[in-house]
Amino acid sequence: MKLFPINRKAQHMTETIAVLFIFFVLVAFGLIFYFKWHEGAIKEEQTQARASRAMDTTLRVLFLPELMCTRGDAVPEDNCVDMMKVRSLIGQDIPTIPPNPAPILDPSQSYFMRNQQYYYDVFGVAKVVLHNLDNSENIVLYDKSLSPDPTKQIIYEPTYFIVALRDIDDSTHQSKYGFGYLEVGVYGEVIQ
Amino acid sequence: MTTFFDKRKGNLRGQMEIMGLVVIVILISLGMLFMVKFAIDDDPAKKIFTRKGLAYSTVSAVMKNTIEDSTCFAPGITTRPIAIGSELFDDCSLYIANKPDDAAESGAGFSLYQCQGEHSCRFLRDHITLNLQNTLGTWNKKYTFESSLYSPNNPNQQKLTLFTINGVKGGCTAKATNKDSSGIYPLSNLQGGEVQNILYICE
Repeated sequence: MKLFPINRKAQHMTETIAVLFIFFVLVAFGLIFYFKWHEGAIKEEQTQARASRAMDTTLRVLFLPELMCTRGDAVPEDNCVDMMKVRSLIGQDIPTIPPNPAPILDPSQSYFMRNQQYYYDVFGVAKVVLHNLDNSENIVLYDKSLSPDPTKQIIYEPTYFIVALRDIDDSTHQSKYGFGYLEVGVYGEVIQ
Repeated sequence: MTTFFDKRKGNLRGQMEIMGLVVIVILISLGMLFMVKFAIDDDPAKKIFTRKGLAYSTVSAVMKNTIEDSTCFAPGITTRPIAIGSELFDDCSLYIANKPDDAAESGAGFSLYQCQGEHSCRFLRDHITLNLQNTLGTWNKKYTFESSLYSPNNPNQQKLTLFTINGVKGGCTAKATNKDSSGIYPLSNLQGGEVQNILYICE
């Protein structure tokens, strides 16, 4: 006679419980993994949406008739910003030799900010800065950020495009092309 | 002695075990799929757009750029400012044979245009290097700018490299991944040759 008789039914039940336990542990791991991945995917989607907006805004700025160089009967020159238009848009004459350090002009003076209602539809929440490398001048053309929210972190994603800066040579009155770049950044927010 | 029903019971248990194995295999496969999805780091559209657009806009701006340097002169030519694309590249391609060796300290050698006492090719290389360093270099981009001449005078129609510029962070080798180019920016010279400029930007 055995001291502890083997109850086959009980053994089978223990096995089933063990298998079910392992199965649910695996399912739980799967769920945790999925939710973590989903959280990351949402953030990734937000990043891609911001990147897509950055591309759209950059293209709009590059082909904006208010800034673009033109020849003859308004034939556009790509990757070129007309400095005479820029000077007119920011509402003041930029000195040929700027003081050192170069001033960052007040964006509220810019034509784009004075007509913010219209340009908000064009640029949205973004910042457009023209950097002139020949005289280290930075001209903020448009800057509309998001209203601060303590629960959210504001992210700024800049895109750079190198452009030729057309101007008129003071002595020869001929066109000259400087070297600079456009910084087009979009604002986004993430929950902290 | 095993009966027919005992045998059937054993078969059922075997089938259940196989089902269990199938479930485990499916779970492992799903896990592997997720891992593969994370492992493949695809290049986002924005990065490609930025690299391509940036490369194209850079070459375009470099070619439009003009020089106002008072040390730049050419006999009989009084026009100012001097255009890089239409004047200096043309001159460089015509007088490439006189270009001093890259390793030589003195950059002088005969070319119609002389800037800062240097051969036009040498001046162009230095000027473009500086502009690219101040932009792409400060944004930590790797790049290679190549300027080559295809001349009808050359019987083999082989290209002659005018100069090559690599970024401070490194250039773009043929094997470099995530590489985009500006596309060829051609300029024709006075002897019917063609100067081809191209900029590669890579990660």
